[in-house]
Amino acid sequence: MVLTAVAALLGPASLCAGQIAIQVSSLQPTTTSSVNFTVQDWGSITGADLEHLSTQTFQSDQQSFTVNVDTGSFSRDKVNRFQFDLYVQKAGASGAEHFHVYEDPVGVFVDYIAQIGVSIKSAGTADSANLTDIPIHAQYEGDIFSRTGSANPIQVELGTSSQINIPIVSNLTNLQASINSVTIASTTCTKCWQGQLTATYDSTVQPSGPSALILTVQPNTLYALYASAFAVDPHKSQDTLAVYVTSTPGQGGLPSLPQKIEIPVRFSPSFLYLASAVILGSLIGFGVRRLIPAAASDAAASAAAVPAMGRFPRWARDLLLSVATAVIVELFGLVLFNNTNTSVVVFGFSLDPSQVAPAFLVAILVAGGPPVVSKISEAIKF
Amino acid sequence: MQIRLAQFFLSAFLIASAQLIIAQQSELGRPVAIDRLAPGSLYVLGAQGVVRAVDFQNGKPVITGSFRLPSSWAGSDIVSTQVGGQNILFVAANYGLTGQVSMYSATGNLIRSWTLRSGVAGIDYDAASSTLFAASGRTPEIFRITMTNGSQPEFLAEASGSQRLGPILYDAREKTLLIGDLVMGAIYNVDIANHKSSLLFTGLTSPQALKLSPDGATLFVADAGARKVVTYLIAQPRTPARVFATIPQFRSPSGLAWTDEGLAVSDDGAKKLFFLSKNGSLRDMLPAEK
Repeated sequence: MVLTAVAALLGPASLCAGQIAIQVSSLQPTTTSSVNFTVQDWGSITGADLEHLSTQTFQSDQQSFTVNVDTGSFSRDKVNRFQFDLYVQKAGASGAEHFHVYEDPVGVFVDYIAQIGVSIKSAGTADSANLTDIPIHAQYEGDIFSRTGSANPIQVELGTSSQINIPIVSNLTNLQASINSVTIASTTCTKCWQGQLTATYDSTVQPSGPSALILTVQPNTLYALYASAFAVDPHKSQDTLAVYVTSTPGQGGLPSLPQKIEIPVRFSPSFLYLASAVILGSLIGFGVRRLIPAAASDAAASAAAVPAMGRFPRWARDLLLSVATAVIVELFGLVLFNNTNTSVVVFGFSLDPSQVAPAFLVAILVAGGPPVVSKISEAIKF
Repeated sequence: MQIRLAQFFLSAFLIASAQLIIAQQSELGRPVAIDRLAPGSLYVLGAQGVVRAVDFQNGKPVITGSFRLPSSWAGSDIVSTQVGGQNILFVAANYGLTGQVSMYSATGNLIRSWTLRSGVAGIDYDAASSTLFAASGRTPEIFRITMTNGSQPEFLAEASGSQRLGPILYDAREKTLLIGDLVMGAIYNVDIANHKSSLLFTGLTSPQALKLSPDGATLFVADAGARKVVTYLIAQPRTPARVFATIPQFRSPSGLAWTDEGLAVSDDGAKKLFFLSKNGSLRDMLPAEK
């Protein structure tokens, strides 16, 4: 019973204190979140005490009261609740009533600066005031940053350390954000990376302001080639880097839980890797073609069409022709892919010619010619 | 001429540096809790997670050492005690919504820590049973942590009717816990044996710290809203509070600790430590008034 009586005295945002009672209206930052205010009366103070405070002053609508917001009191209490002090002065009075306000946020939203409404009553006088520039802080912070720019996989060159620029923008419309830490982890291929994945960034991001996370990464070539061998679709990532950003909204915000930003990447082999793959592929394709017994009519036609003459033996000329054709096809594929994003379709599979495995496969098929292609087609059919 | 000018600038630089060092040595930040295990140092926990040791030198309080909690940890409460003959500090802090109680050596070496998912508002330690008690930051729950290997916080009791728990104090004489409610302005009594809670005292605005008198008969409460330190007689529940100290410099009293000469009061709002005599009058303060 005593508890009930005490609870009744301390309503969530309304309080009769001395001769002044105030009520702070709730806010609804989003449809699924709200912020209630708990008000405590902390007694009266003198005008001299009030002068020592750094307050922002607001007149009530009917000029009956002055509400002073102590901006120096914006802080967290022992249990991390956001709190601030209000001082309500009756018109003509020197002293003021001191109210301590706690924010009680519910749900997920991003912190912002708001205008809050205060109803004031005193000895038959009712008035209201709107207080601006009050920081509203969530208990469960929404995403503070959004990634901007293309969401396509980012090319990371093999065999060298490179930097990835990830443009981001702050979702805090009128509060600064401080980035506390950034950590990076591979989600699907931890071994594809060498050393520590690190990020550099500006620690302060202005309201709604752009910023960037610059990731320094070095692929582990062998593992990355292995990973890329099985992810040949040019539109799919070969690994995804999870970038965890911990940040704190300004003016008393809580440090956020790490926000995950996913960065899909594709490993981009250097010219040397690609050339090696094409040459090796064309050698294998040529070798396989030589091993496949030619049909009698084909062999006769071939012998009649190409007379054996010149400095090189016929097989050598065939080999050079196979390698040259594979190189030309690969170059043509690269030009088309890089300029028009046209992928190479082999046996119904869309392949990225800038990757080692597809380049190797295309070289085998081109150098092997129709006998190899038909053999593989037959094999696939079964 | 140039030599004299250089001497002047050097002297000015040295004086300014010395003053800066003195200012930094007496800077307390926002002290949110204090504790002292006689005859040792007084330990002060700042809101920004800095623990400072304060000792008296030539009768004046001075900061003699400090260490810092991990970045972004917000200090909540501190307890100074002895565990296995070693001086130990238990420090409660909140990071976002998560609470952590850490056990440090007096020199700031982390020994072990415990996580409280719903935050932590206050802690106290019972040396006889080697048990730490913790009040949750966002729920009316009270947890018990034993000093055994691999121990985890165990739910002990709930302060039913409480809106927001604050300071917690173990009463060794009554074998009970006294817990302040920051919103209700009340003190609850939790019987450890039968896990039941009851309302003990009301009439406060925002009790931030609790301390029993050396004889255990009187409860001292730092009331931030009323800017006072008040007392209650433990043997007389629901009796009104008596004002022990109300000095003009009080802004938001946040912590209490006994010193040889009387009571030390930390003030979060005033960013000071006040040293009161046994009758509640102001004896000294840190930083000293300019």
